[in-house]
Amino acid sequence: MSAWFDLTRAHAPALIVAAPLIGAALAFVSPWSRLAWAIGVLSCGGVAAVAFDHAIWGAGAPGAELGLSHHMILALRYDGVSAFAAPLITTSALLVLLGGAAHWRGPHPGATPHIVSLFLLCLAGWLAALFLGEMIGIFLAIETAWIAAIGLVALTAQSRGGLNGALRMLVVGGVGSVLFLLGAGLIFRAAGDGDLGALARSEIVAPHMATAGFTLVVFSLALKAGVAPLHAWAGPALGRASGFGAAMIAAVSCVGAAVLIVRLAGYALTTSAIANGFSVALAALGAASVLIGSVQALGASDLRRLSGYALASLTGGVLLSAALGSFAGYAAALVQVFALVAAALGLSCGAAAAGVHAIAHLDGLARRAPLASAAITASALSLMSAPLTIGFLGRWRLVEAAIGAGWWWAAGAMVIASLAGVFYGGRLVERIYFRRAVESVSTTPTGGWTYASALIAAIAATALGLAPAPLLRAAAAAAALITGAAA
Amino acid sequence: MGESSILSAVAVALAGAFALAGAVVMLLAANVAKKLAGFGVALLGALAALAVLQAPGALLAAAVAVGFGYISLGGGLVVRLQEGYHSVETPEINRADQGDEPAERRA
Repeated sequence: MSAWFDLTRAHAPALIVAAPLIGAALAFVSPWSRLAWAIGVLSCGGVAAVAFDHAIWGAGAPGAELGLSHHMILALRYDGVSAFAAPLITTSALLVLLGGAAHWRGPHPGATPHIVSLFLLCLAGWLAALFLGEMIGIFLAIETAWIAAIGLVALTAQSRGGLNGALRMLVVGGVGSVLFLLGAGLIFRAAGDGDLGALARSEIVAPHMATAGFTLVVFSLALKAGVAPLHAWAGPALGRASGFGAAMIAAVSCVGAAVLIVRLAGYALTTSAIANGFSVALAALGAASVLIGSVQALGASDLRRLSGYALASLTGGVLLSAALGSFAGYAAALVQVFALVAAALGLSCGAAAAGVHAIAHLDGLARRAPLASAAITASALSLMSAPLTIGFLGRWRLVEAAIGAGWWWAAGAMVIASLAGVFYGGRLVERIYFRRAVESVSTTPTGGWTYASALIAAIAATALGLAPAPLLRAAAAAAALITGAAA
Repeated sequence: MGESSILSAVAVALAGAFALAGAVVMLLAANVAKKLAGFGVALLGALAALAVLQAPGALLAAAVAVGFGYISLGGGLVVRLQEGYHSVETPEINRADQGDEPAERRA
């Protein structure tokens, strides 16, 4: 038995990437909806278990190239971000998938095997992008994940509006893929290699070209992460997708793209030739996202659009933290990624469970759907940066790191974002608990128990601000790997 | 040597501009089929830029594969949009959606 554990640990990254792919294939050919869903849940659960085990015990030294030679497209590379984010994203995907079962008794139950298959393909793509060490492989993985996500949104659309959301994602994905290609081409020309780990050792003959290349690649990912001002697709897509589709986009796809930006920053900012220029670009993008997302969230009337704008603000904080390029910055970025996942789960799964679209329909929700109300409230408190929530902890860590680096303007931007959060988050809480439902409001709660695990996890994750030591240790360990691996 | 590097820089700039022009068409065109055509133009421009930059063949192959995926998916969406909205013009699609969902307003 121990031999199997050792084998699993030795090949954990390959398993983490391959298991969802195998699950996707099995689900696709499954003749029954429930079997396909069970395959999906088992795949996600198994991958999450392996990812947690790998993160805790690790395999090989940081920066290790696993399996294949680093010159090969599919060579895997273990680093701090992949170790931290893989368990997070797989757990988030598992919780969303558990909740998604409620939607498939609807008009297209026969489509469930395809839906599960696309979901697992999307997850596999983002996980592969986290572990692959070469730009070509990362490009293939990202675009596979995005195309699968578009198909998923189109397939799970409960109204024709979902097709419009899928169209917007298609346009964004196409533009993003072109930007990534141009950026990758510039990197190959400037550095002579597309391997991330080799960047620090390569002689970069054209630093400006390499900086431009990395910036284009990050812009491509920022499009997919819903970072403002590149997020015009996110509000409409989230607002018009089904509850399951919106949860998948917010809690898996956007988080995966944001984490990947942090990962690329970890390599780019330790390469002296391009660090300064790249840091400026990343910081500018992060600050813009923080401010624009916060302002737009103030005026949102649809809950899922509001969550898209609020998550854009949170993601901006992640980018700002990564742009610092310091140990404290990366640790703050990873804590904020955790807060991002918790908020995404709470808002999107809460909205899906309660069957709520418009913010006006939140009136009196506490009586109709207490668990969903608690999850939405927990996320709102986190967005407000209420003390003892994980959102507060993440922003506080960023403020500390920013002030330590002399970036007072970044600290100011986070204060503004928190103040805005008080308004739009407080609006949600006020409606849920302090208003009565209007009789004409009709919401259709979706499968009372199916989203329970996601909602409980969102509440617990937000409350982790009360006892954050394990999370802070994990983030610090990952940050140490990021800053130390390229030394 | 100097002339060839200037020529290649110009070629990259032209290809990049072509790619960005296609991306702009993809973003701004009203017709969904024209958006897909814009993506095709953008992808061709990107491939040309990669060729001039002497990027690995594997990257070009990956680009073609991904492009095929987007265009196939886009074709399917065109059909579904026509079925659902009886139109593939994005202004009409957005107007139809606004009938189901109120537009964003300030709080």
